Amino acid sequence: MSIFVQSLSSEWLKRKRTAGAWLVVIGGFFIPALILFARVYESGGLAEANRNPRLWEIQYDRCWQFMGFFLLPIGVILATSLVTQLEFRNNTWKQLHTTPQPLRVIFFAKLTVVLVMLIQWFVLFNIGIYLTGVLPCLFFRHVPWPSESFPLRLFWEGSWKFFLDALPIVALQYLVSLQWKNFLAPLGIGFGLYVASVVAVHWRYGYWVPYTYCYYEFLGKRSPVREPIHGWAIGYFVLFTVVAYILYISKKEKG
Amino acid sequence: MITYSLETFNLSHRYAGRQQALDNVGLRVPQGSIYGFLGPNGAGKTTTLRLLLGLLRKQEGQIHFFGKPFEKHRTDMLRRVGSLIETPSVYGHLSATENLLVYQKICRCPRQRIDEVLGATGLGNTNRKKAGHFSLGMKQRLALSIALLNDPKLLILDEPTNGLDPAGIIAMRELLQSLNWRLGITIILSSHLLSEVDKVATHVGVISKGRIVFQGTISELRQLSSGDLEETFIQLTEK
Repeated sequence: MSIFVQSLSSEWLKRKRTAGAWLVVIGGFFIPALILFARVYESGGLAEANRNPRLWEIQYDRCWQFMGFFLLPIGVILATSLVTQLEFRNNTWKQLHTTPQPLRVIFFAKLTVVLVMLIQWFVLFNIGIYLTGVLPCLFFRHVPWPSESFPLRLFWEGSWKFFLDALPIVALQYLVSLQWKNFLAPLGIGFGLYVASVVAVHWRYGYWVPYTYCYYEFLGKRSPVREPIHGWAIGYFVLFTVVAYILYISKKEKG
Repeated sequence: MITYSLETFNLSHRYAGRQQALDNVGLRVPQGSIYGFLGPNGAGKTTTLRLLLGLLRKQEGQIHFFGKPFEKHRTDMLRRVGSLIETPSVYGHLSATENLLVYQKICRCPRQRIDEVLGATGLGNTNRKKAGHFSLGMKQRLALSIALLNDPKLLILDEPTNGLDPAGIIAMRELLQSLNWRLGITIILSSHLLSEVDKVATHVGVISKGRIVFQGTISELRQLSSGDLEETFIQLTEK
């Protein structure tokens, strides 16, 4: 266990100052920043909006509207590929594979870093949504503090569901990024599958496509699918992770 | 009795669709030696070194580090080995210290080792400069620092003077000799430059077309050459 923690700490350090790390910060705050800008721009109705007991529900829906079906899947595709491809870009696989740690530790430490970054994304996003509600009160005297307290539990439950929905994307992007040296390959496959998922989402068997679950989550009760999408998402995640691991350890050339 | 830091037995390798890259290679690297692994370009030096470190999947033969089979004791053996294979492997977005921190966490060596190896390779004053902005020679020295970080008993260096200027080559040579003399580190040094190996090596292995054509001490090679070392090298590798 301790070697895993050390490996994880090492992998976490590697993502420092990378595009993937910045993407998480920017991606997490991007939509809330736009919503905040829109609220401030239309500051006339701000006081009324903040008195509304459904303020947080409205902010949640507005933010997730863009995040759920577009920015989250695209961000996950990009961030997973960027983090995983770090070794190819720096030509460091050969050095990493000669460090005294089992290959399975390297594999799972890298995957854990991607998952932690995804959690980080959700944390920042939720902080961002909170700020869309409270920041205007600090800048405009006439705007009251939101009448309802922040429904933390509901927000985390929502984020948790989207987290589960994003897992197949993480695992498949991880698999592809470990196999191809060319950065365009995982990106091409990721974007291709995302487009396929947008097309397939209204098909009755759309849930077979592993990139559709964020979209279904976003549709909520309007979703045409009644299947247990979280079960499918976890199933795909396990399947892709196992395949990625087998392909990784059986590679003939390791850098 | 000679103790070997590294031995290979009948090591053979063939890349898919290509001719035999290695044919029954039997290396014997005595403990405490500087072993010059010589051969022309494409002779099989890098393939051998990559097999030794597990970067290529072994097809035939045995590899023993410190008398133990590598496959069964991979992690333990890698704890005692430092390596630099071909071009330097460094994270361009991190500083030299951060690059070493990445490996220090895995090797679990004391934090002060980072300053020691940076000082030893002359990179002590690079501060926060990112490794991506280093010259090739600096990257090569940083890669050597990484190889030295876990206080190895055996160093495997593939063409470590590539990209270094003449002063850098001399400094690298002096550093390797000092590591060998002061700390007793066994060093395997691959090169296609006989003159380079001749200046530092105590033992030599010559590989040509995937086969070992000479292995012994540097004085044995000199005796064989009756004066002209280069001529002998060419004869050996053209056999």
